[in-house]
Amino acid sequence: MDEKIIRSAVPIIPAVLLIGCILAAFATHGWDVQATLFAEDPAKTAKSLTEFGSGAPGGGSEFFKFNDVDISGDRVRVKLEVQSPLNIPITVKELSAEIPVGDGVGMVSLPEPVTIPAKGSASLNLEGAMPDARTIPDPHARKNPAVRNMNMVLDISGIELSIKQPKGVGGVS
Amino acid sequence: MTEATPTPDFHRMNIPGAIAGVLTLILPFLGAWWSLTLGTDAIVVATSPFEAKTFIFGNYIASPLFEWFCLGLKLGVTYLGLLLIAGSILPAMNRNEDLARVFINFASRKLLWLVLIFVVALVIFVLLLNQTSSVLPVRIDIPFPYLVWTKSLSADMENMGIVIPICAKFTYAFDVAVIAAVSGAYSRIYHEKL
Repeated sequence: MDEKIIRSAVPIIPAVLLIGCILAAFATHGWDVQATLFAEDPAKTAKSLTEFGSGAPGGGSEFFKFNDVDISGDRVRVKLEVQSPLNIPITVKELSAEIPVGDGVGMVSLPEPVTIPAKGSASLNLEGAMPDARTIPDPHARKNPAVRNMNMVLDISGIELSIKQPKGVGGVS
Repeated sequence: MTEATPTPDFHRMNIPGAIAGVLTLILPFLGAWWSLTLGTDAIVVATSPFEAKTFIFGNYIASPLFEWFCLGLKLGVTYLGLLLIAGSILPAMNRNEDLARVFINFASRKLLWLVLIFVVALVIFVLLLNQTSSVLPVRIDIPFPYLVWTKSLSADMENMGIVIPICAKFTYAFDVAVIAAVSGAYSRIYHEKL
């Protein structure tokens, strides 16, 4: 090859490669600017991320679902279903809550950490002692008591998040 | 008539240029130069001029345009590596010395510029990240680390507390890039002495 051609081609080739790749990006995505810039709709991605933020315990949350309450002897057991919107596992390290039983209020807590798989769900079995028996004329009187004043510690891939449900706000029922 | 093949004279080989060329050739395949991790892998940003992988809570944030642009850079840097190797070997073969000079002059400093631009871009990226601070589902002001940092940050807000281990570091690929860049820059001086 002629030396002069090589000399003039040397600085042009990188620019040709770069421009060629940029054109290929648009060509492989049907010359659609948004599809070329973002693999996924940015609004959809942002929504999936903020879902979790709004899914903390509180009103209308899809993160927690109250499943069942079981009172036997002096123990109260509460089953919560937790749904994770994230693509990574979440560990519920600590969780405690109040549950009205009869005229009293019972305290239930998670006996051991539970890991919720990515985009999956897990059952949390909270246990606690019944409130003072004298305050409970009929512990089963309220069929659907709301779990309230939740405190929990989550481990989201190394990020530790402690959430306290504000007093008097909502509840999971 | 056949032209006599010149006898190779390896004393005339541009050794820094050859080293830089080989390192530059393998550089695009060594992975990220710098990584920023929040938690163990809650948020991961792994970047080099040839790739930028961002995972936010397991969601891979991708831009096809940027990926193609990085492929262009990858090919461009591979081309620079080939030029450096060719420019370093040609004098030893006693052939096309002018062309060898053209190759070395063109390719020798490009990687150094790429490394410098990468570091400056990183600083700008972290600066912008510190300005926006809205990457987490909870609104919180986190002073993100500049280039190299390992620390655990904690913040308390109303009804919420957060502890975030943050680790920012350069990888061995960046060390290779620096060695390749310095060797490349030196190869130009070395070439003048040949």
